[in-house]
Amino acid sequence: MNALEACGLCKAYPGFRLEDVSFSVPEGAVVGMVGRNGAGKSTTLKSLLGLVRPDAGEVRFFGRDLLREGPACRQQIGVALGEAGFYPKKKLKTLTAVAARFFPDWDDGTYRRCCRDFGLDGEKTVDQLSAGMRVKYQLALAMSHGARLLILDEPTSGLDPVSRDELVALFRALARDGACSILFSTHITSDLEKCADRIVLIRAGRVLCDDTLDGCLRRFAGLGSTLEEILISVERGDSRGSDAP
Amino acid sequence: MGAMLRKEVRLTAHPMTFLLVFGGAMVLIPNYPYTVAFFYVTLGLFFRFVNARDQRDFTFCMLLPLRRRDVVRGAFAFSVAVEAAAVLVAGAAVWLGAALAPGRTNGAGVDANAAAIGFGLVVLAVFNGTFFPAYYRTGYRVGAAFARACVGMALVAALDVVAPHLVPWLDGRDPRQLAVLAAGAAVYAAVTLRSCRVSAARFERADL
Repeated sequence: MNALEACGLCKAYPGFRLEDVSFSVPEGAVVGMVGRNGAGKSTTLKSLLGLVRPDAGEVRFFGRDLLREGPACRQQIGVALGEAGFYPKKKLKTLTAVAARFFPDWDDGTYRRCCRDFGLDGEKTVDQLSAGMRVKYQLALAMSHGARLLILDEPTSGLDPVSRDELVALFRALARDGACSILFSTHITSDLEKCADRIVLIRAGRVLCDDTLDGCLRRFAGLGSTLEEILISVERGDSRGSDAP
Repeated sequence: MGAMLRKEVRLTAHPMTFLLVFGGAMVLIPNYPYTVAFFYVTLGLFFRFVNARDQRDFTFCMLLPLRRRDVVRGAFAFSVAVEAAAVLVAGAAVWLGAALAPGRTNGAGVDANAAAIGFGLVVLAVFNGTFFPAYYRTGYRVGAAFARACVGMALVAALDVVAPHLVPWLDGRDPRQLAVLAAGAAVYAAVTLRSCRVSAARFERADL
């Protein structure tokens, strides 16, 4: 079973359209969604999470329809949108105490272990955390309620190379035993080359490629040897390789 | 719902929301339009929604296993609790005012009695019926929603000032004032329930 299936998502804004976006996240996989700024990555993620109402299409988490079984779906997913900009003046322990009440499967032991491993201090407020630590805090919340799928919007953007490398290693570790799947958007292609099993390449609101990392590199081999070269060529309108099977 | 109310109290509510619950005690002020006391209660709730928007409460809610309608119902439950507390404060203040100054009259609207509480409930009903559906249409235009509610509340305040001149038994003490209180409570309950349904439906369609 796939952890996530997005089928035919469409959303029209003035000046931008998300068109027929379909892809899946297999269980235990790390899937990277890549595209330039404004390509539709965040709109797609927001549609997956129900923050934006798609004009058409459907989203299924572990076989459950998001619209019909929203709470059951959300029990199984963890989310990190941007840098956890919510309640910046609240202490982590206050936010956690509130959030824990909503999850029947909340595990305090897991939360304490995550805080220890990630170096999180419950006495700190959200705005006292670095960008990377904010992502780690959201991961700690997700792991503590037993999330089986993590959806992360540009979690490594704005981080220094060391922090990015730590986060990427953490993603790899979380998915290693197959218990957790990860979908994360980014425009930092080197992060994907380090940890992604599959790539969803989005350009101008359309999925240009949904394939394994190797498959994606092979398919666009005529455009470059790295994801970054491929992304740049694709955005510049170079058609070589884009019609390859 | 317990978890939602806990979230409201510990995270979302603004300190002014709790402070202005005691706005109901303004019925002790001599010669004052007592509907304004209830307006201050809605001002406290307005602070709650400004705080929620600025603290990105919806982003936090997206981490939780909630339907959008649960988010709306949580906000309604908290608001109704605040309003109920304010009405109790106002009721206690009416009783205290009568005990301290029997026969006190009000030159700026209905006297401090059961009818004044009834008018206050209508003010709260107008707020609930106007503010929430307007706010949950977008999830962020809190100022515009409150401005719209203020127009309706000002009309009720004007009616409160004029009414004793048209219906003399609204002043002083008269058993018929209890009917005004009951009517106010009925309007409040009906409008609030309908507003909750409409707000939840609108919020389901909003893009956040």
